[in-house]
Amino acid sequence: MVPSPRPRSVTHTPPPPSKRGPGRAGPWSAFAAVAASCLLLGVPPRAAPQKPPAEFVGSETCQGCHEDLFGPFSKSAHQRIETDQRRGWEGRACESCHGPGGKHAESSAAADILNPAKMAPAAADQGCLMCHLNQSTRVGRLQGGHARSQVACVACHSVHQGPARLGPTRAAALNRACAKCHTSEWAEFQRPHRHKLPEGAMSCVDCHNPHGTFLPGSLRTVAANEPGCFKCHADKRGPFAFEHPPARLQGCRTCHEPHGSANPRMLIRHEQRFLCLECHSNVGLTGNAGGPPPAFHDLRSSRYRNCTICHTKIHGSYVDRALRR
Amino acid sequence: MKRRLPLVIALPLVAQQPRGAGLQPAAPQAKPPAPQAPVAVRAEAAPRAEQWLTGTVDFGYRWVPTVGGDFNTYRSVVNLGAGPKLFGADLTVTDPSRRLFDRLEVRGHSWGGEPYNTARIDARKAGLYEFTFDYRNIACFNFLPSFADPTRERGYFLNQRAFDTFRRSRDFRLDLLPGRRITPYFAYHRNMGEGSGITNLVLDGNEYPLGTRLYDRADDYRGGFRFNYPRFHLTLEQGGINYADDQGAFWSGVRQGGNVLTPYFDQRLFLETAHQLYHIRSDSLYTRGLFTANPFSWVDLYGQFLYSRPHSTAVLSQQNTARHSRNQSPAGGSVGRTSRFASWFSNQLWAAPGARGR
Repeated sequence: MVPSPRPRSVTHTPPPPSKRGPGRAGPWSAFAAVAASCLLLGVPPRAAPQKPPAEFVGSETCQGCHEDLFGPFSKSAHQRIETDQRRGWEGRACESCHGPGGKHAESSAAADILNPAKMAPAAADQGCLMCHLNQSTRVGRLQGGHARSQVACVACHSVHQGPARLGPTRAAALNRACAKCHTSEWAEFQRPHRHKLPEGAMSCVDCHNPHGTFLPGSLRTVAANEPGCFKCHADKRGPFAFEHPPARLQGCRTCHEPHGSANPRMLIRHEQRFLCLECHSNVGLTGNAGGPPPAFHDLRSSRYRNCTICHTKIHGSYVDRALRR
Repeated sequence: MKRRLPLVIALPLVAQQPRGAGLQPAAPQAKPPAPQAPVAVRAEAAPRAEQWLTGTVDFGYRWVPTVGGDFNTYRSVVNLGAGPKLFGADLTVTDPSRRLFDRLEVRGHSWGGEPYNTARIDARKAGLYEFTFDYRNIACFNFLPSFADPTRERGYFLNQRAFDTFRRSRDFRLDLLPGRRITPYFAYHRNMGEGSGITNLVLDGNEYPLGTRLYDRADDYRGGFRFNYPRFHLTLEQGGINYADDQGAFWSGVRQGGNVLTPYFDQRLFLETAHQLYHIRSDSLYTRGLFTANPFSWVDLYGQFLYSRPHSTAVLSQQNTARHSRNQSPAGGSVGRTSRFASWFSNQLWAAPGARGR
């Protein structure tokens, strides 16, 4: 049974002051533009026609027709908007994102209400960023690939759903959500040597921050701004007395495919020597790999085809410059 | 874990509301309901009581038939064992009184001898705190050759390097919510790896496989304040890392000749004992400040300050004993040595979770 809608409130509630968003700087920029045009053209400013103020009708009016959305929403984290007096949207949580609903309540037309899911991503995000802009997880958003690629917040977050679905939290659900777009990356996880995402032991957000970070690929940082790889692989972090420069300067992806590889140890080359020889070849005649015989590293011998037999501490060593111990 | 499995499975059943508890009884069913139609309508419109525990539990049994081919290769790539499993559990507890928490979420994944176990607890009380605990246990097994070793059939070398380790991660985080603007937080992360494997000792142009024990641990403590204001955000954090890495490579008892079978001046170098110990201790203090601001809608500013002072102490001790002997084939020949080493390796490596139940 659908309860009968309550009588619509037609009180003209002034919109709460917006703390952030495009409208905050709007009056100042408009004033500056008009003033500049007056100075340049010598034309006195003409008063713009006054628009009737928008009508807020309250969440109870929205509930009358959108009971299916209001129920889950009342259990979500955004429900606090409905009761938080300090944010200024008390009793109007729906309209905090969808804008004034007076006209829509009268006409029931979809065109008379803002729908962030159908808006341009940048415009839709402005609504979310009114509250979420300066939060710790959003600090790198402007550098994030999602923001640059016009992926809106609502592409991943279900605002109306309950707390369990506002954003997926289980590793398997997270991975499914990411794999909807990142199909090639998910295909890499189907390779035999991989991080354990298909098994559900890890999720994409363990290594990446989808809101953006300071590192390429939205890679998470740990401790002293180091790549997130070292959160689990702390034994590779160092600092070592003798570093392997690519591990420090270029990152793990120089040698490894972190999503998955067909090669053991997730290396990017099937044979380890070919990986090492990409940098350590033909640098000298005797001391370096790949030198012609009688070079010490004679690649005709099988023992020199696997460099880490001797250079065991390939990520860095505390005691040996040649990374052998 | 197997003993606790029925209890975990039974939890959602216990937590169900008594039948009919969610609905207010409208009227005795024996009476004709026609005159009491408004009462019936009221009963249908009454809201259902919230269940304090909801969730899902996935459990089952996995059969792994006899693995064809090399079992170590199976473990290196698949590593799933047989037996009863708790594949996943996702429980949400809502405290009606809201005394300790508003909402508590407990999740677990792949328990019951699986090589990958996870658990997570999220608790929250509005205006007071947010707490998160995350646990991972991921097994790492690798017994795959890095290249096609032509000496494999002639000598000891089943593989150049192999390992059977696990890595455990525990992550605690507590955010205090005394107000909307300033959020103190504390976090502790422990990452630990432990296990055994095979590594190589290269001496005199020869290679000797050694058993190795691996252990490393990193403790990361940090705490700070987050200042959330409409126009700017500031995070001040002080943290420290304590790191330990102990690695030992050893060989004793059996004389081994490595994989160089060609005598040099009619002699070969046989390794008798080898002990190599790494002892690394490290600590680091770091201070971090993060600032973002949006003074205007068209400009975003951010900056970061980081000060870190790592300090490491590394001690390496190594003692090897080898003996030059005239070229003589050790007893058992190549095939015998290979078998002996394979059994030694199997004894050294820890039993796999999947193999434990076999």
